[in-house]
Amino acid sequence: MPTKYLLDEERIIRFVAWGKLRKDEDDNVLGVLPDAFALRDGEQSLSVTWCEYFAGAADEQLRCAVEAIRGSMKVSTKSRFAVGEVVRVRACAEGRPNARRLRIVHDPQVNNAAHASLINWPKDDWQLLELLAESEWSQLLTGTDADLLPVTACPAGPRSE
Amino acid sequence: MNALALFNQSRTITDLRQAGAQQGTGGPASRSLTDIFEAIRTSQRVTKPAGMARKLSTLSGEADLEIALKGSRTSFKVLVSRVSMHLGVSWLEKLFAQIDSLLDVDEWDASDPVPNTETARTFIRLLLAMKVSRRPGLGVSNSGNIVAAWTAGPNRLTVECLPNDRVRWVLARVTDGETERAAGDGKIERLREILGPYTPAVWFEYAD
Repeated sequence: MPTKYLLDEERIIRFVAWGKLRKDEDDNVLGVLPDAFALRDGEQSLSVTWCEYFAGAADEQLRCAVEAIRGSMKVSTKSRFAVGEVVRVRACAEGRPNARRLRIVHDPQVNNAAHASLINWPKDDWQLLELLAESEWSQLLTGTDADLLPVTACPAGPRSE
Repeated sequence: MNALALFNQSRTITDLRQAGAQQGTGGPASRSLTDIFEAIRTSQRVTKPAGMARKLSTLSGEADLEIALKGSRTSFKVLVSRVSMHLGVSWLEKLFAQIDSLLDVDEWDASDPVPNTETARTFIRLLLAMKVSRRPGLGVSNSGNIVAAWTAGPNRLTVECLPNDRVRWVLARVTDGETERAAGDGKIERLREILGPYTPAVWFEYAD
């Protein structure tokens, strides 16, 4: 199967656990910590879910991507989903000194057909990760927010083929 | 109530102070807490290996994680309590609540290593060295290190607490409409000097 690259105008979602959320001293969520976007030991690429894999309107695709994450891992009540645009994430990552060209590819998994991988993701650039967390990949959805999005059967869309 | 019972239960500062009084430790509250937690620490050192190893061998998955997180919460609180005289009881109670929240098994990402005492020790030394009035928000890195985050609008300071009093930090500071960014790593003592030009009071003190 040929490699399918995500387009600049498409969106990706990353699950953010409670421990990776930026909070104030009273545990109010303010955003995301840099480590929400950091590779773990042994990881070669950053895992995300591709919204436009699914058919439908933008909100429907977003809901389907959240459901795909929910179906593939434990999603706790205080966690969030960080939504990013490919073009902004790419510009941020590739704008760093000595950056490599980012490859964002569809990489379906058994439990998440909409899974995508960010290849050549920097291993240890906390300043980049903080920049993403602060601005370029900072739109957060709560579980409740996601539940308010329209529900569909989540059929695969034309881009998935 | 003995020290081992305290180790096995999540307690508020008030509970711990009362327990200290029952043990006849007397003295100021902070002194009592120190004594109590020293006893807990000793007890933990003696009883943990055999008992904990047996438990871990017979349980799996979430149960193991719950035990590990409980141990981490307790160790963290013990360390914090040893410097309680510098922090104040109210401050400490709120910090304990943050620790409980961060290390809650229901919210914990099983991919993350459970924080050990080394990162907790660095975190506490960071609080003391920076002379913070304002508690940070708490998080955890992929390596299982405590992450302390201070946020004042667009001014953000994030510090990962590594073993041996080392920290990794990143900041964004807005001055005259310009955002300055910096990042680095090193010993806690150096961080204080490095943050100086950024007027760290914006993070560490409450606005008037």
